[in-house]
Amino acid sequence: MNIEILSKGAFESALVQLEHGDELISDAGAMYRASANVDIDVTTRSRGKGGLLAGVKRLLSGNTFFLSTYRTTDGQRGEVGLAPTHQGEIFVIDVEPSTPWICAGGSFLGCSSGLQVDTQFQGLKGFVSGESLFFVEVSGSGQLLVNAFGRIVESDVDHSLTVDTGHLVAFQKSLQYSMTKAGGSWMQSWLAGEGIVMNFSGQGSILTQSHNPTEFGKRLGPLLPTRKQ
Amino acid sequence: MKFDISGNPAYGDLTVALEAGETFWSEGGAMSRMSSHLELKTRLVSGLVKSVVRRLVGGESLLISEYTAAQMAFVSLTPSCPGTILHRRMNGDRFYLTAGSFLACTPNMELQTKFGGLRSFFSGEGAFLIEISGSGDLFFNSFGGVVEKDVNGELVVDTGHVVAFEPTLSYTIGGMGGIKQTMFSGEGLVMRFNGRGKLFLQTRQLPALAGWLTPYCR
Amino acid sequence: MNYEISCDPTYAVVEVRLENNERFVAEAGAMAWMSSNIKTETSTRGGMLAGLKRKLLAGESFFQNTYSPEGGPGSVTIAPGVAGNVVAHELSNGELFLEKSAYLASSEGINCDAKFDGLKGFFNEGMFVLRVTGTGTLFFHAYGDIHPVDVDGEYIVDNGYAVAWEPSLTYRLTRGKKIRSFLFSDQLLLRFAGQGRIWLQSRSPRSLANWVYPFRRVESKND
Repeated sequence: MNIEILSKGAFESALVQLEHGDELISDAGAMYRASANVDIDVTTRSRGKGGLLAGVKRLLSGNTFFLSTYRTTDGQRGEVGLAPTHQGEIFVIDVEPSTPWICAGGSFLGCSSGLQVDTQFQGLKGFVSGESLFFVEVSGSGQLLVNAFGRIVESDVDHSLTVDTGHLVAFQKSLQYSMTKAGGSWMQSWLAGEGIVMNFSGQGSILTQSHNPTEFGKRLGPLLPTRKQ
Repeated sequence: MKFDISGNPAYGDLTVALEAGETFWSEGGAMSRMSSHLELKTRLVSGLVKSVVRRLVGGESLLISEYTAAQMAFVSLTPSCPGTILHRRMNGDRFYLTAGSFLACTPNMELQTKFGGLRSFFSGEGAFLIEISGSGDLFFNSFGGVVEKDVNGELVVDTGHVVAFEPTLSYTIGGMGGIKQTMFSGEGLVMRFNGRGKLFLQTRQLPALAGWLTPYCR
Repeated sequence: MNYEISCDPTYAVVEVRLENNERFVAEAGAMAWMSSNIKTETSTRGGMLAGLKRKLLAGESFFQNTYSPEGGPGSVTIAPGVAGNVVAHELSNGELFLEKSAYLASSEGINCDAKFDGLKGFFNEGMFVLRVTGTGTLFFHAYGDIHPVDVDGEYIVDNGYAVAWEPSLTYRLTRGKKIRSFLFSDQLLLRFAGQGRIWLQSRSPRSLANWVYPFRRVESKND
């Protein structure tokens, strides 16, 4: 399986070449082009409980985590193009068995089949925006494709670093972290508009995105038509 | 204070390095990463901004995040809408920013909201211009790319595409020539600038994005 | 007329320089800035009531304004609503199919016919297609970058990503082979066949609309 990043710069997408027998997993709906011999199957690996119906409800509310699996059907090579929802960059993380990664749900684009994707429901609701923080754990051996709103920034933590959760893309599980409201007291950070922050310590790598889709959504949402519950 | 702007023109990102004892201001929600020991506090509107207006058009509130460094620290900031970040050294002069364009500044500059001549139109929903004055470093941003114009004469601009301008420019705000034009042209309000001065324009605006996206919304 | 596309590919705009009285057409609402001697004409379709304005501009119809300088040359800068690139496509008595929301502007001599392509149903995914003909320059834009693909045979693309295509191609809706993928992945696919060029955008408007759903205000009884 070979991954090529297209359109370097502003709107990156991934073109994955599949050999016969290769399997690619991606966020359902991330596929935007494919050769005619690719078959798509959706696993209802929905996050949290509730089964299929709950999953469909979540689909409508915008919080989904369905995975699609791609294989070629005719023994030949095939290709699948994956595109994120937002403008920005894509990054390929080489995951090794010794270092699993925790990836923000909205940042997960796809991965090779040698990786295990576990929905780890964090379930912490932000007070003001109602955002649910949702992470998946990716372990095993293979390539993990993540996407960013804006640019990807790599940080190597060596002591401590505080990151606004809306900017988190992925981090190595080896890091310790605590979640707090920015600014200490509850009242303070609600006013500041900052949501939850992660205080990382220890050693490991973190990928962040330059821009925060939640902040963008909060500005854009109210300008759109109202929705039924 | 030292600063670095990376990621322009599409994904401008401001990183500020603070010495012990230094303070810095940014709009709320702008922080992406910072030193864990950096102190972050919120300043309420009435404390800083000389105006009864508490919110800006578009719902952006005039809440300022104040960062205080007890020891050397850094903070990275980005606006809610990706674009270009610009720096302006202020030397006791004035400058006008539109709602959404203010990103950060060194403390103790004066911020004042202005209706910009359209009080009745906005009917209490918020002001649309911020007048900033004083000395220090100002950081402002565009939504989208930025086009800097040295106006010498006249220019007509859709209000949503204005980022900032020098006070040497005068302007009038109105519709596109009459009610029918304004209603049906689809164009919003326009500002007709006159005089000589710098005008910063942006290549995207949120209401236009909302208009484009609406047909796809269930 | 001459033009310049700048701030590409992420936030492209087109600046068009016109001769005295030369006319230029753009989607209503796309004018970003212009010289002070530009006259704007709006095409009004009969008498319209105030309340219709928002609905009309919500994409259920297609409105264009015409710009022309008076008393000398002038310029108009046109900006799309969404982040992405702009393509200038020359037509010489030609024809092109264009997704309606991708239309940005065109020189006089280009005609746009709104043709509703009956791919309705399935989560409201009706595709509004414009049939563009004539001679001159057509400007269209996309969410994301724009990639031309020369098809020779067959090509599958997710319904949300095809922005423009040549009339020599035929297309039909298809879906992932297993029923489950159709129901749960919201994924309609377009299968193009023949020989011709299609332009793809690298992001999906539908995907963005789904993502922004929770940020929209909830309808109250007073709406």
